[in-house]
Formats: sequence, structure tokens, C-alpha cells
Amino acid sequence: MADPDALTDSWSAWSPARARRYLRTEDAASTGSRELLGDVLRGLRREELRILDLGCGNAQFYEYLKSVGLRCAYTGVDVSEPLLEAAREIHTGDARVSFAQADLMTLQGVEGRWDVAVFSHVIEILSGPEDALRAARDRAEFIAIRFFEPPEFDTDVVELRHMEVGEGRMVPYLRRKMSRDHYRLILSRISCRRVDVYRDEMSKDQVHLLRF
Amino acid sequence: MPSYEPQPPVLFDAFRERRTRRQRVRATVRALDLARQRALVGAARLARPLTSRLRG
Repeated sequence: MADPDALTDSWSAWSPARARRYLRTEDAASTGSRELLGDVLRGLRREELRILDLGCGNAQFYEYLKSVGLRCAYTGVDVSEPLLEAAREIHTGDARVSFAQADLMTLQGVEGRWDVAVFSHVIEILSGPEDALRAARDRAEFIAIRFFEPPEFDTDVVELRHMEVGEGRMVPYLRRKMSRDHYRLILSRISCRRVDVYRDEMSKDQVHLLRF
Repeated sequence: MPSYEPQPPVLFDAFRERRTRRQRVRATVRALDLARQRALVGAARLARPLTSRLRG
């Protein structure tokens, strides 16, 4: 297993300017699957959805939810303090939003109950996806996962890559391609009852809604 | 020392393909567009011999 402290160091190394820009500019992800995830959440038909966004980064997904008028109480969790700082700055004065710094594999200190826990392009960069999904399941009725590498591979591969965190500094991070068997084993072990699979029409992204 | 007897893993298998309301609407619009295009092509094919006869 990779040393989680080394990964935490990587995600904590963002420069403030780069943290604000993360996933908003040149590295923005598929807008199609973001819309898809928003529609899946809307389909849960709650008066005011309580969302736990795990690996929220600078909370650009919350910004999208607000822009499309999805009424929700939003809690963003991330291990990266610079990204959370950017999120707090962007959403200053918004009473419906709160943020917490925590390890996604334990969610230590994140107490409460939510309608849905969201992993938006996050599962692929975690060292322990099973632990993260179990911790999420203990806190939410549903789990919604937005995959950029859908878990349909024949074998499991984890690559160590490098990303630029500002001012030319490069740090390592994980990128996982999960096999379908590994995913199905995890789902079985966390007592998942059913998974609704939604496919993005503009990319290979998928959104999975886990029911328990 | 306890012996290790491998057990087959229990794999989850309850996946269900779904589409959101927006995706269903888009699929309907695409199907209607396709039907309209086919109808136009069909009408053009029918009209062609008639035009030829009128010119002829």
C-alpha cells in the first residue's frame, strides 16, 4: 500500500493560485458527465438534498449544482487544505455549504447523516477505494460515483503519475484502473444491494448510483 | 497452524442500466429527427419520377 502521508503531502502541495484554478480551466473534466451526475442527484427527488461531496477539491461541483438550481445542503470533504481553502474563499457567506478536512479512507471527524455521498472523479485517485466506500456508506443512504475510468477493465492497474501543483512543482499521485471483478468484490463486501449505471453520451465516463 | 482453504469470492451482480429523464428526452428527439429525415428522403424518392414525367 502506498504511504498515505506521501499522497496527503502531494494533495497539500497546491499553490493557492493553482488550487483556485484546479478543474476550472485547462484541466476541466467532461461537462457531459457532470450534467449526468447532477441529473442523477436531481432524480433522487428530495426537497433539499443533503450532499456529502468526498474529495470535493475546490468545490467546483457545488458551483455547478448552484448554477443549475439544484437546492441542496452541501458538505465538502477533502484531504487537501489548499483546495479546501480555495473552496471556502469561493463560497464565502453561503450558509448551505460547509467544508471539512479528512482522510477519505476513514472520514474521521466527519460525523452526521447525508442523503447521498458523492465521489466525482475521485475513486480513481484513492489508495483505498473499499475503505472510502465503506466510510461513505456508513454516513449516507446512497453513494453516487462519477468515473472517468469506469471499472470495466480485465485486470487491476494502479499507476504512479505526476501532476503540476503550481509554480512548476511536480508531485506524485495515484491513478487507478479498476477491474470489474475488484469492483464487484468491493460492492459485495460493503453490502451493496443494487447499482444503477448511467453512461455519459459525450465521453467514456459513467455515473453509478449505489443502493444499500 | 490453521490451514488456508481458498473460498471463491462473492461477487456483486445487481447492475441495472438506466437513463436520466434528460437522456430519454434526447433519445426521443433523435428518434423523431431520424424518422423525419427518412420521411423526407422517402417523399423525395416518390417525387423524383413525377418531376421527370412532368419535365418529359
